[in-house]
Amino acid sequence: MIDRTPLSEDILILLGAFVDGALTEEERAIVEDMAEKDPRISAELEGLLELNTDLQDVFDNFFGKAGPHRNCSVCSSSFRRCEHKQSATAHPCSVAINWSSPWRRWHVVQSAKQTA
Amino acid sequence: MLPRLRRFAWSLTRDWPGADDLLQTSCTRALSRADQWQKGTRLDAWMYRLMRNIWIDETRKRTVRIGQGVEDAADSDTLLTSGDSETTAYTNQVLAQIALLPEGFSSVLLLVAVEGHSYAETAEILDIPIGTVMSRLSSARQKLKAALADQQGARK
Repeated sequence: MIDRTPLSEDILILLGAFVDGALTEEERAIVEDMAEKDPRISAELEGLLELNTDLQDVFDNFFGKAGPHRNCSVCSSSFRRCEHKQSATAHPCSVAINWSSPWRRWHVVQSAKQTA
Repeated sequence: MLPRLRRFAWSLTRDWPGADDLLQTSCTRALSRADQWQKGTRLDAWMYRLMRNIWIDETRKRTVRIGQGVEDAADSDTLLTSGDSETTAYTNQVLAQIALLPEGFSSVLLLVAVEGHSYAETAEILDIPIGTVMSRLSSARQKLKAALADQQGARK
C-alpha cells in the first residue's frame, strides 16, 4: 500500500538542504537512502529539482542572463543544464551555481536508472 | 553584477519600476560609500545588504503595499511579453506566484535557489538566522509548488 502521508516540515527542510548542497557527505547518504526506500521522498526531490530549474529559467527569461553567455561550447545547450560546463566565452556563468550540488548527481543517477 | 542586483531588487519590491528605482538608489549609495566596502570581502554580498537596508528604510518612510497579487502583477507592465507564448505564460505565472509569497520569502528563494548562495551567506545578507532561511525557503518552495500545480490542474 502506498503511503500518502504528507512529509513533515523537518523532512522537507532536510530535502531542501539536500537539493541546495547544504548537507554533509554523511547526511547526503542518509537522504539518498531515504529516497531509495520512500517514493514520497524521491518524488519530492524530483519536484524540488524541477522547481529549481524552472526558477532559474524564469529569472533568466525575465531579467536577462546574469552572465554574458551560458551556452556550452561543446553541446550548445544551456550552460546550466549541460554536463560539460564549457563556457563558450572567457566569462563563464557569473552566477555562483553549485555545480557539485548533490541534487544534480542524484538526478543523473535517477535518469540513468530510468533509461536502464 | 547588475542583472543579479536587479533580480534581488525585484525580489524585495516585487514590481518592476520599484525594482529599478531601488537598483538606481543602491548603486548611487554604493558609489558614495565605496570606501566602506572592505577589499577581500564579497562585493555582491555587500551590495545586497546595502540594497536591503535601503529597502527597509524606504518601506519605513512610506507605506508601501507589496505583493499585491496576481491581478496587479498581470495588470502591470512588468510582465514578460516577448518570447514564445508558452514560455512567456509560464514565466509570468511563476513570477506572479513569487510575488504572492509572504514578505522575505521571495528574497530567500532568489538568493539560494537562483543565485546559488549558501544558507550562511543568505542569512548574513538578509540579517536573519540560518534556521529562518531554511524554514522560509522550504515554505516558499511548498507554496510555489502547490500554487503552480493548482494552476496547471485548473487549465486541464
